[in-house]
Amino acid sequence: MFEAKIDSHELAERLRARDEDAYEFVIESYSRRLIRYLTRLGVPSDEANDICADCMLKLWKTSCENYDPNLSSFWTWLRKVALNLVRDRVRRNQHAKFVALDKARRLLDPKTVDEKYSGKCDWELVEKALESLDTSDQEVINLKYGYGLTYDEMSQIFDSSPAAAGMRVTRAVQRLRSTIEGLKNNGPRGPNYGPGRSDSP
Amino acid sequence: MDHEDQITDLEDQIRLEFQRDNALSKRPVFKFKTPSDLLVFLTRLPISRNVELTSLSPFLRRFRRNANLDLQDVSIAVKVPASTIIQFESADLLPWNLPPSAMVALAYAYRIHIEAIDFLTRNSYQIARLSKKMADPSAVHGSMSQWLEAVRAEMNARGELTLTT
Repeated sequence: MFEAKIDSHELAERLRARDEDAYEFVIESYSRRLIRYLTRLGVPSDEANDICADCMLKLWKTSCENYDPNLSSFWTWLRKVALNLVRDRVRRNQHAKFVALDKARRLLDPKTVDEKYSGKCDWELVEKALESLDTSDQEVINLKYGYGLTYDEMSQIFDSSPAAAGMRVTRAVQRLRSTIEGLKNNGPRGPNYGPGRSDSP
Repeated sequence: MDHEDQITDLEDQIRLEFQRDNALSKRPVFKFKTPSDLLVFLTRLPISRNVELTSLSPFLRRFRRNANLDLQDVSIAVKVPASTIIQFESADLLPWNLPPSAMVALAYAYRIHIEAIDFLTRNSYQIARLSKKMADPSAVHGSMSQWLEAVRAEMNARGELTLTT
């Protein structure tokens, strides 16, 4: 069993050596304190518990290699590790794709389409052009610009390479642009208007 | 900048992030007309294969929370009792004590690859081991491995190739 009081240099050494008793000592001695510290900072209590567990997992996986007892106490260093995890977690949550998905759902309403796009444009025309594209092009554009997926993620959905997914996006956007131009110049031309299609003028 | 200054700086950054996050938290919960609509919505998400360093229960809870999904809706859609989902999301109960079929149903809905399940479950084991939550770690390790095998076998049996290969 671990001693109640241990020199920080010895602790660092034993943590680096992945001594399980040292990790048990850290978990027993610091977990509650860390959770209290995080909740005081405003982290919800269940998330504070999870961050604490993630923090201990990180210490184990990295063998606490970055801890230098000459620079700070273990508690100070541990707080820094935990705070970095909290900051990354909050940012990751904010940028989670679901935010984009949420927006994408609202974007289905043309009145809110300007939330997604910037610049001067006739959004009703864009919506009309989108509707006149075939469903596969609509899907590609929605996944890329509505749902904010990367080519890598899209390639999983289409069961293709990321480059092929990128090409599908490029072609769909080209067809969308052409359709918008067509609508601007000539009025509605019906479905499948655009480059590479048999009904081009 | 010494460690204490860095900590103060990080605390300030986090408070600022919380202010931004609060605005996002006010989003209404996603509601779907039918359970199958919810499943269609979920199954269009990209597959989680390489996930962050965490264990299974926080991953599942954060996923549902970030997706802004109602527990009962998920329960009906994936045909897993809400109480079982709560148990999976709680760190109090270790995942390999729960039915593998429920894990497969959640994995299918949330698009979690078997490699991610394996990684997250082993992390759950590691944390429980270091916290001395288990009397016989080697026996528990055996149970965990069997559970993971059962999850993989059921995913294969369901033909979830995108989640197992």
